[in-house]
Amino acid sequence: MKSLIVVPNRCTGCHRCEMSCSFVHFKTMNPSKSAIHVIRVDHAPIDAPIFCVQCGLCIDVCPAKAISRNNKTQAVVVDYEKCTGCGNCVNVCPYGAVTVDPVTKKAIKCDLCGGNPECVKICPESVLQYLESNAASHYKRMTYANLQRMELKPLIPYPRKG
Amino acid sequence: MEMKVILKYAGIVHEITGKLSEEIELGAETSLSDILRRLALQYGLRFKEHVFDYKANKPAPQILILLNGKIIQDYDRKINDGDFVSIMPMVSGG
Amino acid sequence: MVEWHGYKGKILRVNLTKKEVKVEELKKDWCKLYIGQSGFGAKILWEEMQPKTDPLSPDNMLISSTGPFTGTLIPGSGSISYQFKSPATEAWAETRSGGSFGPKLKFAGFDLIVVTGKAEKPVYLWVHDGTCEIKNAEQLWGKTVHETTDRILREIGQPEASVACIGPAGEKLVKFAAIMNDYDRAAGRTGGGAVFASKNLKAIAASGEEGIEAADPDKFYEAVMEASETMRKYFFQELIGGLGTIGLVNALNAAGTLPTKNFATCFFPAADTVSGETLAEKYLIKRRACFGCTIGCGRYAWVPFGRFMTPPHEGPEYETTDMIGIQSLLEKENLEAIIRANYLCNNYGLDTISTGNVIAFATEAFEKGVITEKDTDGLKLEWNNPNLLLTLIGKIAKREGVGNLLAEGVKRAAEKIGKGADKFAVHVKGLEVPAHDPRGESRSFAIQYAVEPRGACHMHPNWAGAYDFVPLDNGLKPHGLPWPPPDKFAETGVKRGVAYKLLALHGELAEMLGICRFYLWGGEDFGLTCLTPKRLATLYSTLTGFKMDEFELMKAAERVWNLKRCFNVREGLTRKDDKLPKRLLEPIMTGPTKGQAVKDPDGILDEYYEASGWDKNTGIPTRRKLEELGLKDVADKLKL
Repeated sequence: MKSLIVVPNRCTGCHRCEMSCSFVHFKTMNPSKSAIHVIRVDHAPIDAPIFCVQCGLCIDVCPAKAISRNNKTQAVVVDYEKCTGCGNCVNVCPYGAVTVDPVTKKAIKCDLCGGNPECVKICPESVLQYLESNAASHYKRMTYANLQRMELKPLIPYPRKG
Repeated sequence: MEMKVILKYAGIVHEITGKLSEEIELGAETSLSDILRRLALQYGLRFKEHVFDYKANKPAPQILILLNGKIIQDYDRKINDGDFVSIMPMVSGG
Repeated sequence: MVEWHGYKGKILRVNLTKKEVKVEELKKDWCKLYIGQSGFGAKILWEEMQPKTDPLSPDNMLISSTGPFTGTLIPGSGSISYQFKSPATEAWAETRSGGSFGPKLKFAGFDLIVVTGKAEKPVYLWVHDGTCEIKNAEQLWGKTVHETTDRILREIGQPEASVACIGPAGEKLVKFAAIMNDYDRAAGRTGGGAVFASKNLKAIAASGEEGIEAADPDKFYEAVMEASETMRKYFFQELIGGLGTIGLVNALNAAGTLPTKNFATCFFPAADTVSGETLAEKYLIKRRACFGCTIGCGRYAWVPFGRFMTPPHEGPEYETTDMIGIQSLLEKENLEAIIRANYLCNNYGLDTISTGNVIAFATEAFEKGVITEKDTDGLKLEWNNPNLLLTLIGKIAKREGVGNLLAEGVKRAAEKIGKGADKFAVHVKGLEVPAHDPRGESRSFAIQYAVEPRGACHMHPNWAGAYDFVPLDNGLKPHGLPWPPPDKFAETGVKRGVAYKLLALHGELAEMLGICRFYLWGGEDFGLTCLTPKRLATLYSTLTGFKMDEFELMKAAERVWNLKRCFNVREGLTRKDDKLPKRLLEPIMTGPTKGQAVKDPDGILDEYYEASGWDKNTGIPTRRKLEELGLKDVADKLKL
C-alpha cells in the first residue's frame, strides 16, 4: 500500500504538478482545478506542494455521502454524480487540500490518480514520491518535524531601502 | 629546454584534481596527450574515467579540452611555452 | 465564438490617457504567421506605431505578451516579454523575463496587453478574470520593487497574483531601468522601466482562474511527457540547474572568456571567489524555478552578516556577477558585495548588465583622466572598490551627481564626455554589451551583437555559442546546419553566416512560442536532450490545433526576425548601425585567449547578410526575401 509524500525542502516551485493534475483530470491546464497546490512565498523563501493526506475527515461531513474511501488505493474519493458543491469538505479540511470548482460546483480533491499519481510522474526534482507505507512514513514524520524547527538566530532584518 | 604550461580546470575536473589552476614544467617536444597522460597517472582512476582516457586517447563525453581557448582534437599536437590548456565540462550560455 | 487552444484568443487594450479598457479578439491568421509573444508584438508595433516616435512620449506603445506555450505543461513555459520602442537605442525593444507573470496573464484570460497613452497620475493595472481595472498608484510611487509588490498583493487581496512593476530607477527614467516581476525576475534590457514610468504606469498585477486547453489532449499529453522525460537528461542540468547560471564563472574563466575590467581582458585569476561553487558553499539558501521549469536555475541567496548584509532574494545570475562584480572589482574578490548589489538593482529596478557595463566604463574613464573629480562631485572612481560600486548604483537609480550622466547609458554618457570616451564605450546601437565575448567565446557573437534588433545581446535571439563554443547542433541539422562546427575563432569562409542564421531562428522560436531559451540547447552526440524545432512543432500542433511542421515554424521565425529588422529600418537603422564597439576589435590582454580580437567584422557581416537575404551594402532585407516571407506590404511600405 503506497502513500503520496513530499520530500521537504526540495521543491523548486515550478508548478508542474498542478498543471499535470488539472490536465489529466479535467483536460485543462489550470492551477485552480488542480488537487495539488504549490505555495510559493518569497523572502522566506517557501516552496511547498500541499496535497490531500487522505485522512478522511471530509467523509463524515458530506451531506450527500459523496465521499468514500477507495478500496484499492485507500484514497478518499469524491463521487461527482452525488456531489452538490456545498463546501462542507472544504471547511473541515485542515490542510486546505479540497476546493470547490466555482463553475462546475464540484469538489476537487486528490484521488491518487487511481494508484499512479501524475504529479509524481511529472515532478522534475523527485519531490513528490509514491512510496510503500513504512518508507512513506519517514517523510511524513520529516514534514511534521519541520514544524518544530527552531528559527535561526539572529533573524535577519529586512531593509527595504537601498 | 624547459617549458611552462598553465593548466586551467573547471567543474568535475576541478573536483577531481582539487585545483582550479596549476603550472607544470615540461621538456620540449611534449604533446598534449603526453600532458594528459601525466595528469591521468597523477590524479588516478577518476581522471581516466571522467576526464581523459589516455588509453583510448579520448576525452570523456562531456569534457572540452582547449588549447589557448580553442577546442583541440589533435592530441599529438606539440605544446609551446606559455600555452594555456583548459580542461573543463561543456558549458552553456546564461 | 472561436474556440482557442494554447492561446487565450484575447488582446487587452488599455489607453491610459482616455482611461479606456477594451478587449479585442486575437486574429486567427496571426497565429501561424507570427506564432505569438514578440511575434505578435512585432506585428502590432509595425502596423500601429509611427516611425520616429519619442520613446518616452505617450505615443510609445508598450506590449506585454505571452506565447501559446506560456502557462502550459510544456517545460519552460514561464515567460513574459515586453515590446516597445527603446529610449536607450531608439529602436526595436524586446525584453523577456521568467517567473509567473506570463502564465498568470493567461490565467487572467489574455494573450497580451497593449498599453498606449499616459495616465494623468500614477496608476497600476489589475488584470483579472477577463477584465482590467486601472487603480491608483500614487501611494506606491517612489517605493522599491519588493515593497510595491507586497503592497499591491495586499491591496488586491490576491496572494497568488503575480506583479510586474518598476522601481525608483524607472521612475527617474534611467535609460536601462528594468521591469521586474515576482520580486526578483527581471525583464532588464532596453529600458522598459523608463517606458512604464513615462506612462505613469507603476505596475501590472495579473491573476485569474481560467485554464489553457489543448486541441488534441491525448497527443499533446504524449508530446509533453516525451519532452519532460527528455529534459530530465538536459545536457546542462548539472551546471545550470545544479549551480545556477553563476556556475559559468569558473568554466568561462578556464576557457579564457570571462570579460574583465571593461572588456580589457577575459581572464580573472580570482574567479573562484565569486563562482557558483562559492555561492553554493557560503550564501545559497535553496534553488528555485520559474513557472513550468524543469531546470531550476534560480538561486535564493543571502548575506547573513557583515558590511554587505542582504536579506534572502533571488540571484545573482552569471551576467550580474560578471558585469557588476568582475568588470569593476578585480583582485579584491567580493561575492557578498555582488549579492548586495544584485539586491539593490532588483529593488531599484535596474538592469544589472547595463549598470555594470556603465560603471566599468566610468571607472576606466576616470582612470584615463577623461573625467575627473569635477565631473563626479569629488567622488574618486577606482577599480576594486565594492563600497563605491554600491554608492554608484544608488546614484544612478536616483540620477544624483555623476549618476545622472551614467543613467543615460554608456552610449550617451560617452557622447557627452567626448574626448575619445567612445573608444571604450562597449555597446551596440546603445545597448550595453553583456558578459559574453566574441573574441574569447565564439565569433558568432560578432554577428549577433551586430544584427540583433535590440542591440548587443548574448541571449536574444539565442545563445550564440550554442554551435561552436561547445559543439551543439540543437536539432538544426535537418535545416542545413553546417556540421561539424568550425573553430570558434574562425571568422570567414566557414559558413558561419548560414549556421548563425539557423541558430537565430531557433532562438526566435522560443521568443515567439513563449518559453525559456535554455531549453533549446543540445547535441545529437549527447542524446539531443532539448526542444528541437521538431519537438516544438509537435507540441505546437497538438496544443493549438494549428498544424505546422518544423520547417514552417522556422519560416515563421524568419518572418518575425525580418519584420523586427524592418521596424528598425523604418526608424533609420541600416548596416552603419550594425557596428561592433572598438574594444571588441582590440586584443584580449591576458589569459588563455590572449591576443584574440575580432579581425574582420565586415567580412563576417557580409557572409551573414548573404545567408539572410539582406542587401550587402545597406543591410536592409531585399524585396525578394520579404515577399518570400509573405511580407510584400512591408517591402512596399519601405519602398524597396
